[in-house]
Amino acid sequence: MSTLPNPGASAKAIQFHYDIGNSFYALWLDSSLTYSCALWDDHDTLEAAQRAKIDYHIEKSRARGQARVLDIGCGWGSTLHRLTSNAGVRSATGLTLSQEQAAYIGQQRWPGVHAHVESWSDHVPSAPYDAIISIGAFEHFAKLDQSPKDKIEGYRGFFRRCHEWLPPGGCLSLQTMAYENSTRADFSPFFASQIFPESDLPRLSEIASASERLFEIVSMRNDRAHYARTSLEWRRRLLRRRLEAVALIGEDAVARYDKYLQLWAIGFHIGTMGLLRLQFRKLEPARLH
Amino acid sequence: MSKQQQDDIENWLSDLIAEILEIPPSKVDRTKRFDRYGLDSVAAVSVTGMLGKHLGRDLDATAMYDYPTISTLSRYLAESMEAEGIKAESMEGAPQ
Repeated sequence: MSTLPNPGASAKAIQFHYDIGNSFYALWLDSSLTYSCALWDDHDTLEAAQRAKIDYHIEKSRARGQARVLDIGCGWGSTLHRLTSNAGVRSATGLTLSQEQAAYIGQQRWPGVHAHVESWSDHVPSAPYDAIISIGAFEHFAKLDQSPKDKIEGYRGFFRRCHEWLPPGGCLSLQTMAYENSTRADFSPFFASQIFPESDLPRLSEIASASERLFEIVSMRNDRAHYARTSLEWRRRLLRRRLEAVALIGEDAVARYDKYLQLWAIGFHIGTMGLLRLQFRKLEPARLH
Repeated sequence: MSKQQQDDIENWLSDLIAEILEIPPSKVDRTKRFDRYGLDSVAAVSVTGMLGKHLGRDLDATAMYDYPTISTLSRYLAESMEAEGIKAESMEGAPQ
């Protein structure tokens, strides 16, 4: 299997945001360092809501009890750890473009967990996977300057790879932010230049188009209110540890994060952005009867 | 107490909006939605930041969308501050 050109954000662009320092993120994320929208159903604490989100994707990808599971965009490894420590998974492989994240996971020495600094487009597994999870990475799989056709083709490359790696009927559980009542033209220059360079959001229609005839969508939730709440909770925690944060990354950078978390909360609150949780099941080639 | 606090917040916000829009405070309609004044999400972050500093408490920027006029936002803040036992004495002067 050959590798593909990475259609999304470069390693350098990813590291710009995620490698600002693990100690900084540890100040305001929950203790598992989960940096994506939580699932607040019946949960009051960030810790519990993040664990519920991870368990949701473990269930939707049907990863429980499986031998080999892939996490594309694994962050600091909270899902990988949950898979092997709680869901009976023997081997959990994570991909990230952040060196700091991969180093952190390596330091934990979690049995059965492996993390690689590698794009999905370069990944060549030694054996197929039984289930795939991808949370909060799809936002980096396209760039703002791509044509709509190239954007969907890039996404389709991702779905094609997942299709190749899964067994018949295998599932992918995907979580991503998406454009809702907004368009590319509304993408804030502040985000594009100072927060998430080389990244673009998908539309639901683009995800549907890119995955058609490879996967069927089994279930979907739009939980944008959950991301508004998560963003505000992150900001409250950041402000409580503000002095330590300033000591780590400086006044300007903390102000930038404060602003971005508030703008994010507004976007999800008023519906310019959505938060999709999608369960895909692999389709087999159609047969004539 | 709550009405006085609400009036103080309303006056402070009216002065701030007038300053941003470069119009006299008397021209600011306290029942007009913030978005009708052309205030976007970046402005909402900025306004709630300044207002929060003035009131000595952290405000979520989303409050400007849940309470989208000077009047409704001021009433909400005055009521919630009274419920939290924050005294009007902590308020400072109008924005410079």
